[in-house]
Amino acid sequence: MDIHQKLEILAAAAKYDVSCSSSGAPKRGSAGKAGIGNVAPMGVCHSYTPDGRCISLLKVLLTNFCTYDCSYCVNRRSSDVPRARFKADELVSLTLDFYRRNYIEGLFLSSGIIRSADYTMEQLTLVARKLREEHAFRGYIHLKTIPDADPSLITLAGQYADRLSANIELPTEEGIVRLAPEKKVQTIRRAMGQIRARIDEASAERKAPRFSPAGQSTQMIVGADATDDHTILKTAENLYGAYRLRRVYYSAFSPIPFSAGQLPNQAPPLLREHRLYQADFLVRGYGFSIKELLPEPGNLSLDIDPKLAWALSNRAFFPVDLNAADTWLIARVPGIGVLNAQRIVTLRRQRKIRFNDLVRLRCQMTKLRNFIQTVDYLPQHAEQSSEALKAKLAERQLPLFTNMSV
Amino acid sequence: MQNVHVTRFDDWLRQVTALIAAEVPPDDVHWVHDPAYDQTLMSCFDMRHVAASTALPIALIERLRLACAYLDPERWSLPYRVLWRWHHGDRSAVLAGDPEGTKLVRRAQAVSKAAHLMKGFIRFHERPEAEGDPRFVASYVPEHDVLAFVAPHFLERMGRTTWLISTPSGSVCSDGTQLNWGAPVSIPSSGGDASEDLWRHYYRSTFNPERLNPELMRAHLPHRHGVALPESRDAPALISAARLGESRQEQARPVASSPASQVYSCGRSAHRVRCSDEGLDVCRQCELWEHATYPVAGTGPSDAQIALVGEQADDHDDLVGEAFSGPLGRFLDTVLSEAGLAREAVFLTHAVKHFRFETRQLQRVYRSPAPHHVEACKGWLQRELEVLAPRVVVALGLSAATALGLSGDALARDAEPSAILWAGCWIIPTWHPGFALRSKDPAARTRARAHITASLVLARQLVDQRYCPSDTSRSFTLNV
Repeated sequence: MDIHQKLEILAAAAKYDVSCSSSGAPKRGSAGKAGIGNVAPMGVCHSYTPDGRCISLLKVLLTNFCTYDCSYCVNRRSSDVPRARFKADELVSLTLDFYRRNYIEGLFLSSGIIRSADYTMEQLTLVARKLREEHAFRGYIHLKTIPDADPSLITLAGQYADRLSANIELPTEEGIVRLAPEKKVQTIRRAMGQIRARIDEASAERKAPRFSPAGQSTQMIVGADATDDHTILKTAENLYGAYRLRRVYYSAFSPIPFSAGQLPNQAPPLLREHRLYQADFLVRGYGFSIKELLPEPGNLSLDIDPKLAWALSNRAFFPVDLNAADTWLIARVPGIGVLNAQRIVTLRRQRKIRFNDLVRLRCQMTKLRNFIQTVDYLPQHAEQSSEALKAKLAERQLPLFTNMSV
Repeated sequence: MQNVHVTRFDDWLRQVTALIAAEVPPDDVHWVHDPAYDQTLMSCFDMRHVAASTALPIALIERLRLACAYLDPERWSLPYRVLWRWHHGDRSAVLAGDPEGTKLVRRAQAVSKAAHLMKGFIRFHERPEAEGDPRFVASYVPEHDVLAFVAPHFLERMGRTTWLISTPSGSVCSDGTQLNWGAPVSIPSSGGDASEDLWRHYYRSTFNPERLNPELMRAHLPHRHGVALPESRDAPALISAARLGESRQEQARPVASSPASQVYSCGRSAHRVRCSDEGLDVCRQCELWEHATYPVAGTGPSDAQIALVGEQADDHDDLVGEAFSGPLGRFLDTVLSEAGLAREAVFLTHAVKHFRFETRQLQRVYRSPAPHHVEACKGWLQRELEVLAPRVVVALGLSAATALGLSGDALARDAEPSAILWAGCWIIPTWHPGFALRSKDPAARTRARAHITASLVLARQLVDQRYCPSDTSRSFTLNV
């Protein structure tokens, strides 16, 4: 099999992993040194595919042979897809060739489980080790950890990778038992626990050997089973707290070729996924708790975003006086982000905030006009019911999600 | 009106400093941009040097420097108007929200964005190795004059590999150690790079047709950037194929036409046992298992005479599955050695095997276990102690004492440590080391620590002196 076919098979097999971040690793470079590669502080996107997702890393599987039989996965052993496997050196030179031409920031490498978890983890680490040691590659490497592998292999992988991740796959243990019979929640969590303990150790001492400096992340599939958003977000909150994850990725379940019978065969719930990311972002960046965003079991509303939904059910906080309120509260106003909240506070040290300042800051005016007051502006419809406001503000057409089914 | 010629930012900054000193208002200055590719003119910008010579804050210089790369007739005049106001005491002039400040901030943002996009969308082509010629070449049309911001990135990225980037406003090449600036050069478009072909294969395969969303792609990748990318030639075909509803087959066809093989193997043989199907690992007697990483069983030599029972697994214990493994464990080690005991000689366990916590701001915060957690876990502790049969059990904290069957009033932790004979062994109730380590009251910390140490000394003496529980009174206090 030639390299083109291998790349086709193994990239197609890896595309259900959504993480493509190349940021968070410590700044480093190769100016005047042997070897190549650097890490830019913000991460760089090199292309976008027609699904709207960026390409930052070369995201492939080492092999799509797999001894597991997880029904949501296109590579499960009972799936009738062609199989391929990269040799370590093929993958190394592919990565370097792409990197030199500025197609990618680095490598995202995952794999099906072949022979044994330990063997697979060794093979993944081998590619990273060759890149780092034989080619002095200083670009970004994200390795998927095989949770069942020996802890010492995970420790080794963390020395070469910028980020490690272990996928929790499904938000409930029940789901994993049903859809991924060979996987165990406890094993996955233990791998994450080990990674966090190692990261903590490495960051506690300045001279400690590096270990996964860009942290760890995980991925949860949304819509493969009946779990509601409340459970999903609770699980995410718990994982963030327990393992200090940088990110939890939510992956709307895409029906896969030759799918197993127990899975939904419908378009991926992209808008729901989008709402989950919004809620996740509010928790990480705005200090919201899941309890505030979704006090009861159920799903996030699809017609309005979670921040607006929170504001509508907490009208007592509003209108917020932009000339007096704390930054955190200003950032909770629908239509004003954290950055603009800081800008407002910086500007009001110089002079009073007026309504037109917000226009210039490009705040979302239709959203915020019912929730703020400035020296020259008081909302006219402060007494309007939340229901009426919701009807008015519901996003009838989400510009970027028009063709998404819900 | 005065004509002022300017070529680049530090040149501009020097001139505005003089203009402000000479009290020349912005409306009296006409800025003339002179393109220049002189090596000395384009050489490295030294922020600290500039900050020292102009007495402007570094953040402001950085913002001005970015804004001055914005290609526009007002390129040099707007920043001067802003700086003029700033010099005359109007600090809001440089802030977003102010009419001119907003423009300045937006220009700075647009330039950063253009620089960032350039880092992503430049494509190098490899050329045959020739003496003195750069090996990788690229041409690119950035939205603004950002080459100076982007070149250092590629110097770091490419190491000793030689390269050249040409833009309409100049070019830069690297000999592997430093940058050399020059006039724009024309780069013949090269086709048929084998890697480019591979890259397009990758692009087509990594696309997920089920998630088709070309509007989102266009939002990220405006047309003017897209056209320059080799892979964008594939996008229309991918979009229409996905739209035709044949997405799954379309995606599967090139893959399905290649030689397939089926794996026959058994999942179980590849599965390594990292958690067992019995015992604590599957304990569901309370709800704490659900968010736990490990249940934490006791550890220590099987002939240990002293057992220490803590309250519950803490954050670190939960991560690694070992009792007293984290900062609290290190604190306990010091207290143990003060009492003349070694950690290796004692048995360490918790009353509650899982970690109870609540999540605040995405951090796990320790919460003491509720009585029903202690009750649910009691069986596990009893089994451990039955197997070990220690001479002395030190109960660290209230939960441990409760789990061992002592009622609350048996705990006189303010008094001297005392040993209570209970179910055939000595029990010494004392404070939890977490209290001695983290209590807000320093006096309470000292008292608790002393009490724990004394209790451990008492435990050691009880073991050394071989008091036999059967022939002593129910309660016993040693003076230490």
